[in-house]
Amino acid sequence: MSGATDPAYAWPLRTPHPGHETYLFDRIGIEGMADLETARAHGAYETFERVLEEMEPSEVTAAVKDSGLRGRGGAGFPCGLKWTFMPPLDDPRPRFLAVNADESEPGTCKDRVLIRRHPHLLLEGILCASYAMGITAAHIFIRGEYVEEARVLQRAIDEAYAAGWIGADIRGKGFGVDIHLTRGAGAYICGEETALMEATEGKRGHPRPKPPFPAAVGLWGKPTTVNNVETLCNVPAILAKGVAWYRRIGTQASPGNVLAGISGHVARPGVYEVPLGITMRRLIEDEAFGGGVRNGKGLKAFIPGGSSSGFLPPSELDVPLTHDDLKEKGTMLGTASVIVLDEDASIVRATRIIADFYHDESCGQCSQCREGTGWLARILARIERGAGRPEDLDILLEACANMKGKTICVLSDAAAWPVELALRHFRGEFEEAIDRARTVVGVAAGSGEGSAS
Amino acid sequence: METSTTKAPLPPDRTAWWERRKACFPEARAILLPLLHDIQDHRGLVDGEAMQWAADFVGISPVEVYGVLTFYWMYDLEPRAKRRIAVCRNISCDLMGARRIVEALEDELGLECDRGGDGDWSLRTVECMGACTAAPMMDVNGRYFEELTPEKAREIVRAIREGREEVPEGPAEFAPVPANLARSWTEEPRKEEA
Repeated sequence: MSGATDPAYAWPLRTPHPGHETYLFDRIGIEGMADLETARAHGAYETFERVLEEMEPSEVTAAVKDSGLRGRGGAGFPCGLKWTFMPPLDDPRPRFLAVNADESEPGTCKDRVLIRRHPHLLLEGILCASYAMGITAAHIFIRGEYVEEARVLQRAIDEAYAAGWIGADIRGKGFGVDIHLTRGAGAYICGEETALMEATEGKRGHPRPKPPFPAAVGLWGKPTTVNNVETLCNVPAILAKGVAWYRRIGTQASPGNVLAGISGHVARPGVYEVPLGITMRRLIEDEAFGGGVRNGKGLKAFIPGGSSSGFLPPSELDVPLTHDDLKEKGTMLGTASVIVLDEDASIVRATRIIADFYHDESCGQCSQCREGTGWLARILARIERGAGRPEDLDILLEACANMKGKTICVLSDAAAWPVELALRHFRGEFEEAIDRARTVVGVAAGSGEGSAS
Repeated sequence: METSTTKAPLPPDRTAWWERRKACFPEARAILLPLLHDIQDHRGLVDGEAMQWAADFVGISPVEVYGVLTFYWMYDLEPRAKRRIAVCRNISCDLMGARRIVEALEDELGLECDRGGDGDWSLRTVECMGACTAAPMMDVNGRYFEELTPEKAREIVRAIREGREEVPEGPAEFAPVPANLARSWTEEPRKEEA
């Protein structure tokens, strides 16, 4: 298994990150950072050790809260605020940290880079968070497909245990926490926080209704905080360099750096650490990042934050990469995973592929999602095939309306958004595909395609 | 591998380790997903007998194990091919030519994609594997091959065939064996909180 090339990491490692400070990827280029000895030589666990010696748990939580760090898993919820939802530290019940390493949103492969190249940064983040919240045990759930990443991470955990960085009474300071790693077995929905807890407990990844929220009833019924890998990797830097330093990066409402993955038709696909607030144009076109649409082609559309964030046209290229600016555009920052489509790409096909994905990954608990995702996928498939009907676009929008805000989790909404955005910005392309179908003799509606239902 | 003296689908040392691992969690069934991976890596599938054994081992009913097995795509209930190729068909990989990768592999292997396999090889498409910035990609027995071209994909198949390229076979190299087996919760067995 060794000696496999690492193309996913080649680009960011070659990129000098001009003009801004980095704290997530600053050390991932160092050979052997997954080994404890090398990681220690480059400062791993020094922040945690200082936190143990000098800070009260409440001060750690306050710092993270004041930093304005927002979750990097997709929802963008303020991290420190989430931590304060946990019961007070004198509550005798065990309490857990669920670490979301189930990165599965199409377009997203950022946590993978962190885990593979710098697992001790994640572990240090987990330790700091655990100290702040008085965590009994942290349970990392990693997607089953990440076999190599799970191996690297388990080895890092073992090394950190052996060196006394994890376990009981760490460094003799009276604080202890265990860290366990559980491998999933392939299901997108397990990235949803309550499904993640179900899967960690060894069950099907069926999201739980909320409330109760995880901070009240989480893993095994105990108070639990769920944090994404990248979110936790922000924590050591905040504690080491201070809230004021952190808030100078990014924007007022979205501070800090974010790992932006750029894939699709760009010259330099890769995962880049960039300050929040950078424009999409710079991210896609700058020679230091995406390097522009490849092969000199024009840009047709881009997806700003993973498949569920939908398509935006080139006229929106100047939108800053922040939670609020993208929300204003009817989309979201999501996982900051930008997917670029050149002028030759088919929006109809791209939308169908995304619809297929959500149909495949719907857990099946809620009928709006289970049935709705199938409707979207089947109607889009027939439009792509050249068997679309004039009424199809209205049916799609009606189905989308019936899928949003009605289900246990947001997978159903996430399936509807990209279809709605595609129709908002690229309706002409769908109409063209349907018109083309109408002019072909014998491919009129009802010729054996069946209904969408 | 399996000995004739035990019905356990795993070697005795492995079974003993899982016995200890169970105690790390408030409920034994928390080990279920990794345990089923381990069984599958040793046996090539999780059959009815193994399902029953796993259910008894963690104290749940076999139908619950079956529910888990069928929820996640990575478990095989039928015998699987020796080398299993999964090509990502999702958006980033599709944009970068995943279809041409599938066609090249179908031709190289003499197989139709998503129609099972021939015992030696199987070929299927899957949803996003998290290699989007290195698209298109394929996974062979848990090892990723990225930034593919049709010719590169063919060459990888040939290399595996001829033993020039290694992919994991049998029990995973990923030993799910943490050095520490701490019982990391301190309370009495959980009371149901309705």
